[in-house]
Amino acid sequence: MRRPFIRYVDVHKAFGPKPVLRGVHLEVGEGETVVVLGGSGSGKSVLLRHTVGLHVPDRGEIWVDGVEISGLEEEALVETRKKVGMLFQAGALFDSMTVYENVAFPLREHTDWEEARIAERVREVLRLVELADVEDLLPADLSGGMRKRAALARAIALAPRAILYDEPTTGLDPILANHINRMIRNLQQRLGVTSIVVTHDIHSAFAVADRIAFLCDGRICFDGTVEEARRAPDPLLRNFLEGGGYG
Amino acid sequence: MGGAVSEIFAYLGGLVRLSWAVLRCTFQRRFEVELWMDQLFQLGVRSLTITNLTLLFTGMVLAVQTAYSLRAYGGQTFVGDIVALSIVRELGPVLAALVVAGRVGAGITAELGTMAVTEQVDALRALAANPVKKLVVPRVGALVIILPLLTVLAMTVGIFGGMVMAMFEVGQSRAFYIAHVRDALEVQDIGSGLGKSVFFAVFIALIACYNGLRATGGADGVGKATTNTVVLGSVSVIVSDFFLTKAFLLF
Repeated sequence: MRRPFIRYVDVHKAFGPKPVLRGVHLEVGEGETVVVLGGSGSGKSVLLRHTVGLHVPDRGEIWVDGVEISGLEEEALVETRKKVGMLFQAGALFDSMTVYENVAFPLREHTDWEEARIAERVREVLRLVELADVEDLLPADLSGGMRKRAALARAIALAPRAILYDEPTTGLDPILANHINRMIRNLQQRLGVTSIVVTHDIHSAFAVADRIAFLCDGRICFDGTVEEARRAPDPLLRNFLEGGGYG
Repeated sequence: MGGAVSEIFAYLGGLVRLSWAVLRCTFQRRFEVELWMDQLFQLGVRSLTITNLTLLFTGMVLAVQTAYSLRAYGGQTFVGDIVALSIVRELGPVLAALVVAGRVGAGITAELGTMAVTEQVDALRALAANPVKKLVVPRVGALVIILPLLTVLAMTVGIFGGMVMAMFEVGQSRAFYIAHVRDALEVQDIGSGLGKSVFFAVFIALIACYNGLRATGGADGVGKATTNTVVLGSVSVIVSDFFLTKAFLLF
C-alpha cells in the first residue's frame, strides 16, 4: 500500500439547504492516479476544490501530505498549494497575461529566480505539455486544447507533488481528449506525481486511472481498480459505465 | 423585510472584512510596483477626458446660471467667486467621483467579476497568491492617488469653463475673473474638496472590487454586479458627501 498523499475523511459540504458531499472517504496514494467519476452536479469538482482549500468542509477532514488543511487560513494554505497544482475546467488562465506570463506567474510569486532561469523553466514546462511558439499569445488567441495545456503548464511550473484535474477532456474533440489523456499519463510516469482526475468521461477515466472512485449521492459508492470497476455489480456504476456517462 | 436587512448587514460586513484585508495587505512585504503603475494608468489616464469634460461644462453652465440669477441684484461681479467656491468645495469632487464611479467602478467590477466567474480568482488562490493583494490593493491604492489628481485638474478646467462664460456672456475681463477666484478660495476649501475625493476613491474602489469578487452566475451575474456598483458607488458618494462636508466644516 502506497503512503497516502491526499486523504478525505468523512467530508460533508452543503450549499445552502442542498447537501453536495455527505461523508466522503477517499485515500490517494503517493504517485497514484485516481479518477473520480460521477454525473454532472454530483459534487466531484467540489471535492477537488476542497483539496487546495478553495472550499472549506462543513464537517470532516482533508489531509494533504500529512497536514490537515480544512479550515486553515489562506496564509497557512500557501505551502499546501505550492505542493498541489490544479488544472481548472476551462483552464482559468489569466486573460490579461500572455501564455509566458501565466506560466511564469507562480515562479515569480514563489521563487527568487532570475528572469533567465524563469524563462528556461517556462520553456521546459511548455515542452512537457507539447506547446511551442505560443509564449507571446494571449489566452484568447488559443484553441480550447491549447488553453488547457497552457493551464497545465502553469499548474506544473512549481513542480508540484500532486496535480488535480477538473474535467480535463470536457469540451475537447476525441483526438485532443486523447492527447490530454496521454499527457496526464506522461506526467505521472515522468514526474511521479500523485493525480486526481475528476471527470464524467469514461474513456478518459479508463485511459488514465490506476484506481477509480465513483461518487454518487454525495459519497464514494465504489472504489477499486480499473478492472474491478469494469466488473463491479453496483447498478448505478454499471449504468454510468454502460451509458458512457451521463452529464 | 428581515431578509433584506440581514442581507444589507451581510454586505456591509463583507465590505468591512475586505477593507481590513486591504489594510493588512497594503503594508505587507513585496510591494507590487508594476500592478500599481498599471492601475494608475488604467484608472487615471482613461478617466481624464470624461472628468474634464464634465467639469468644463459644469463650470460654464454655473457661470451662465449665476450671472442670470444675480443680474437683478447687480451681483454679476461675483460670478468668479461663486463658480470657484461651488466647484472647489462641492461640484468638483462630487461630479468627478460620480463620473469615476460610473466609468472606473463599472470597469473594475466587470473585470474582477469576469475573473471570478471564469475561476481566475480561484486559480490565483490555488497558485498560493492572495487575490486581495494582487487585485484589490493596487486598484484601491491607484484610485486613492488618482481621484484627487483628476479632481484638481477637473476643478481647474471647471473654473476655466466659468471664465470663458464670464468673459463672453457677462463681459468680464480675464484678470477680473481670476482675481475674484483667488479672493474667494482659501486653502481649507481646496483641502476639504480633495479630502472628500480621497474618501470617495476608497468607497468606489472597495464597492467595485467587492462586487466583482463576489459575482456569480456567468455573464448575467457580472452584469448585475456592474450595475450594482454604479448604483451603490454613486449613492455612497452622494450620501457620504453630506457627512464629509459636515465633518470638514468642523476643522
